[in-house]
Amino acid sequence: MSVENSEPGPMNPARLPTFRQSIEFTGQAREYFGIWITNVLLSLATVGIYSAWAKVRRLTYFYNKTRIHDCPFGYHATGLQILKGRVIAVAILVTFNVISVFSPLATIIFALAFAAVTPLLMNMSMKFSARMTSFRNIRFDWHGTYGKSFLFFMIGPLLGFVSLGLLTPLMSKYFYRYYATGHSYGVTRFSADPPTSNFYFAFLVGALLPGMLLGILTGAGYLIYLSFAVGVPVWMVWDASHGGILIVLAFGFLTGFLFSFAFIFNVLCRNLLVSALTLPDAATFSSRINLFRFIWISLSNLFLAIVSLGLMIPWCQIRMYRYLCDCTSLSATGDLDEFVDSERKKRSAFGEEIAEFEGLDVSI
Amino acid sequence: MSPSRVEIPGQYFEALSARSQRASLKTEEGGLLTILVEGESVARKLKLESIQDGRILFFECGRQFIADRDLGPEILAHHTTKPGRFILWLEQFSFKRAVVLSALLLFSIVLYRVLLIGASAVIVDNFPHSWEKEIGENTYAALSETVFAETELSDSTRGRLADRARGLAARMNLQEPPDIFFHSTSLIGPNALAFPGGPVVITDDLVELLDEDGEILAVIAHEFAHIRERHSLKQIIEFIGVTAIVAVLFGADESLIEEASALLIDVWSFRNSRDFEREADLIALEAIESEGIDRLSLYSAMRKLIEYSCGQSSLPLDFEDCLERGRNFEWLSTHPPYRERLEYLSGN
Repeated sequence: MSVENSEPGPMNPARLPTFRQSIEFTGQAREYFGIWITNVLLSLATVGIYSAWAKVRRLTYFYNKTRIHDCPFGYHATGLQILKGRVIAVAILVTFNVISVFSPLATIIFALAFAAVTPLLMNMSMKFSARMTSFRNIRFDWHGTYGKSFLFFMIGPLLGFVSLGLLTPLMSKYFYRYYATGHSYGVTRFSADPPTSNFYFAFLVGALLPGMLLGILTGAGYLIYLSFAVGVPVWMVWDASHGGILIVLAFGFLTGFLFSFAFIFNVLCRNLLVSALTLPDAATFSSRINLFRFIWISLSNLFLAIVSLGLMIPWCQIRMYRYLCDCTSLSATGDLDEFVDSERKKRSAFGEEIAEFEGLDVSI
Repeated sequence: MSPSRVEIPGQYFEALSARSQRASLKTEEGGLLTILVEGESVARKLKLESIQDGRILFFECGRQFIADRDLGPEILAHHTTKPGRFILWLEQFSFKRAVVLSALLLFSIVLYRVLLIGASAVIVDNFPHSWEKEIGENTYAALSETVFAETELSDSTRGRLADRARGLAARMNLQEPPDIFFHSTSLIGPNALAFPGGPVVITDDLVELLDEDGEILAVIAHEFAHIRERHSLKQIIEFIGVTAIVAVLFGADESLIEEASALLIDVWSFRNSRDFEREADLIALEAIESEGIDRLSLYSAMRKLIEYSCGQSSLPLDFEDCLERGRNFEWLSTHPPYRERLEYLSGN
């Protein structure tokens, strides 16, 4: 954690001083291990019912241990709220699956109807998540509209695909900007306008180049394999591949592209977005995730989770979360005491749970 | 039991405000909570929404108090339900408890796996045949509009094979003889498919490749075995169960770990599929023998299919090399390795 111009003692009644510091995470793997293993055991023992409460316990722990200027975040959802949402979501999914088995036409109608309500569910989900999160007694909020969510979360990725990737960086920029500016801290909206050119550069470095590299490596590996199988020098096997080399090159490129798009490009976009993020008259943010370190942590976590039969997962989660916090800093340029919240209303977990269940959760 | 009266200093927030002020939390008779600012009471009889991290208090009225130190077990216990206290006790870390809980977790997973096998057998036994048949027919209907084309086989060939297949179905004690459909298709080559509860699809390429009726009927017997043993249904139910266990264990937050666990489930389901294929082969052997068809027909059919598959390879490999190919990647295959399959079909 780096701290500049910071005065200790945020507990004093005077106005908060301006400061710049990394987001602090004080969680410990041994502490979280107890929560994690209790969550898993009780979820197994209750045939999954406890998993709703497990989610609350997990998020509450991570939020409480995440601090800015020694002030922790809070999480306010209850297990019962989440369970209700899950029951409804499961009922809808079971209905959908039963219908899809017995009537293909009804399946199409159901799928179209589901696509039509997806932006609505995303908005409900994001609003619930935001309103259940607080910092300094102020809740976050989400103000997305049906039209914009439909455009940026559903049509945007489609346009990127149809344009063979040419519009993907532009659409990503709009997606991330909408995600940021749709959120507010209390009644104060976040703002962000990262430059478009940076997204194109991130796309080149974080998706195209790794794809091309893996394509070339896979193609070379295939030619070497062929030369051993046929028993001739590697430069003479081009014809023996019967055009298979092109398929292998394309397969290597696509695998590398999709993997790096999902893991590397998104990390670069997170850096771009957070660094452009501001809370007007109060704070600016910065994100400096090192790509190589991030990949190293991801891969070594994966290895440890597998060899430990899952028992090291708490350590892996804490390690990754701490790294992400360390890389994210905040500069307070105004008075954080001045924020106010709007009146609270009861929120339903339905939107969040069905969206999460369907993999429609939006996060960066 | 009420906690003793204590006063704990901390940071106090009014409802809907981020402005903090120094205050203290006072516990009174009956566990009532009061906030004092400079010794003066500013909020009394506060109702708790939640206590987080042992020192962060959220009140139903929207106020918040962050204590400078932990509230202590006495206050926490007073404001926590009995199940909540048990969960907090479980969550406390100690080396001994971690070892015991880890052992319990691994035991639970093994137990779940065993129960799952038993439960899936019960579910499969009680799953209505009419539903399974409807699933199969709908899947076939969808594929026949997209993948399958009209057969080019003569009526007499189709009629002859279908007649003999009905006899085979009766011999294998199938609830009702599955429909046999012949189709031309450019996508799956010489192949046969069994849909849940029937029907069975035979491609024209398969009939042309296996020019003897005995070989074609041996393949049909293999597909009938899948239907009789309800392999598709078993595969689906066990897949759902294992996916649920893995999801609980590995969670769904670590995207890379999530992807890897999906891959592990696939590898597991491939092994399951190989077991089902072996079982179907062995049942088919018994069935064709009892129908008076040469037991080696399935072997010769399989050998022709493997030769065809090897001939499609871009590599100029002979048959023996082809049998060895992919042996190292058996765990990624849905069918038993070529050599092993030919060995047990030939009776060696």
